[in-house]
Amino acid sequence: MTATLSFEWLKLSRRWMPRVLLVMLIGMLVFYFWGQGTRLEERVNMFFPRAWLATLFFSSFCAPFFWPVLGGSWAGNEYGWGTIRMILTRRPYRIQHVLAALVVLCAALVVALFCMLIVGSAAGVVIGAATGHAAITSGVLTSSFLNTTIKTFAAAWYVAVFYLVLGYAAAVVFRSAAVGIGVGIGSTLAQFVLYAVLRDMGGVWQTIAQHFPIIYTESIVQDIAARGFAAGTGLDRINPGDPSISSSVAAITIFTAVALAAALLSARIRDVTE
Amino acid sequence: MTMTAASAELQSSAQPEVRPAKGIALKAGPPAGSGGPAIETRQLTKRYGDVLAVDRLDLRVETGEIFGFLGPNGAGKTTTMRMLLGLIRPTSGEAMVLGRSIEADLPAILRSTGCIIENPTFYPYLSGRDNLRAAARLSGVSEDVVARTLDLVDLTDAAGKRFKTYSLGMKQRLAVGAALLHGPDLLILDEPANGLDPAGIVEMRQLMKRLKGEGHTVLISSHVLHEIEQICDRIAILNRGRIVIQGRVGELLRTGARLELRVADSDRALRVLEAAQWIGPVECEGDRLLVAVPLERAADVNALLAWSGLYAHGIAAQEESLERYFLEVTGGNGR
Repeated sequence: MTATLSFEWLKLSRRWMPRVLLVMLIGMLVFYFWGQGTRLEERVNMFFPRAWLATLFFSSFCAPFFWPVLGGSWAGNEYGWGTIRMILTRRPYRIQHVLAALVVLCAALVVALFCMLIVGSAAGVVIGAATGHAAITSGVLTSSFLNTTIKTFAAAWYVAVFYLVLGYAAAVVFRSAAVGIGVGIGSTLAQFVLYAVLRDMGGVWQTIAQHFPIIYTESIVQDIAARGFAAGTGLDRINPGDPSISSSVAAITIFTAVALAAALLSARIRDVTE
Repeated sequence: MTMTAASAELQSSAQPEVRPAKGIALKAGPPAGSGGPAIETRQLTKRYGDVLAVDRLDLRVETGEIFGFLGPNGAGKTTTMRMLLGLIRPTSGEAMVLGRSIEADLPAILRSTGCIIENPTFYPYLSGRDNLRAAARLSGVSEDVVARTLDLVDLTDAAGKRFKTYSLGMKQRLAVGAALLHGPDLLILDEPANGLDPAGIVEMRQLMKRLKGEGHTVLISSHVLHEIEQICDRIAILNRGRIVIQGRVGELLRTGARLELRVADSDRALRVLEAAQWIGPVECEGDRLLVAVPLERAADVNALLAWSGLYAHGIAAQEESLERYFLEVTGGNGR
């Protein structure tokens, strides 16, 4: 496993695509802070250290559109470039290969979130200073707040992992980067549309819609972070219809496990004809 | 390329804990499973739905030989090679590589096997050096061998360039280097001369011979029949998933050799030769007769004609070329 992890790390350390994704995400984060900083009601949540929570909240909002690109292209390009042959004719441990790739990519998500937190912190300080407030909001940095921040970080990472695995699995099953990315992002867009349709139909359809992955991934970070945002702002509200945090964790775990199982099964049993 | 000259230099670099091997393999000791065939398949079959890609293949590649795998496109060569490397699972039958079953001992087989399957496959965003480093990590060998491997395939100057900027010949050379990186006993090479210039093809030929001299076994498929004819000890010709013929190159070509005679009265000579039961089909083109007969019986043919009062004013052996032989046994299907 160490050799495979080391191999995946070498690839990650040389590839520009993840860095480009991160730069785009950070660019959007800056715009988010800029936009929210002009809104009186939400501005207080953009100041440091609440900027951490705002950053993680924003990252989970973007997760369905960014991380399937990483997962889908990572797995799909192995088939597109034919490098899957290079891998499996040296180490024929197919399950190990999938798991090693995902471990390295999940570690990369941690790094990406930390990078976003650094930029978010800087943006928070700048907004505070630019609007005549203290660079660091006093009285916020309590142990309770740090606890909430750590939980929010874990939740944001978990949501990112789900979308990464979703794109990765689709790419392995269909052996295509484009399909992996398309399924990863497309399924989220489809859920938005379907959710609206099924909700209006009511009854059992509405119940089904309330168990879509997007419902859990949208609510979990929001509901955890809400405890750390300033009272009376938009971000501190918890929608009474949201699933509980434990339900969200369980649901995301199940959805991730299903996607992972599909990837492992496909990688294990199918012939490599690329 | 300086492949042949530098190959032995790699010997000292392999990690000894991986497995004892030899030669370019950079290691010393007998190849795994030595004593038996390097590759042996029994009734190996691969079916995709209604399509029978490989049909009850019985192949035997002896240890230490260069074995040519020929066949028209779609004959099943690459599918067979993929099965030997565990990329494709056989529908039925069995295959032993280096004395081990591909079902049970694939990891051990792959530690002793280098391969190029179809086109060279590497990461386009990585440099040649990093691609070899990646391959070394996967193979569990020290990255120390990378520099010498780059030198071996004459890519040291281009080592820092991204793979996607390489020419086809450079890509092919990198693939050869990657195949040799971990010091394999067996090489499975699918069209390794693709994209090489004439000098590169000559060096590839020399490398194959050198590897054979060091005791390596090479299974090679190629469309460059002239090359196969020059370097292979034995060949198998596949058509529609089945082995049409398998044997030593020289013997196979001799079976197709003919005697060319020039006789003034060719019509009468034709009748005389056709009456002899030990002589095969005879073709007549003007005063030229092409006689299907073992070449060592040329004197008997000449004597037969002389007994009939016919005297040949020209006798020559017409050697069969592998290309013509290939076209004959594949029914002209080999393109």
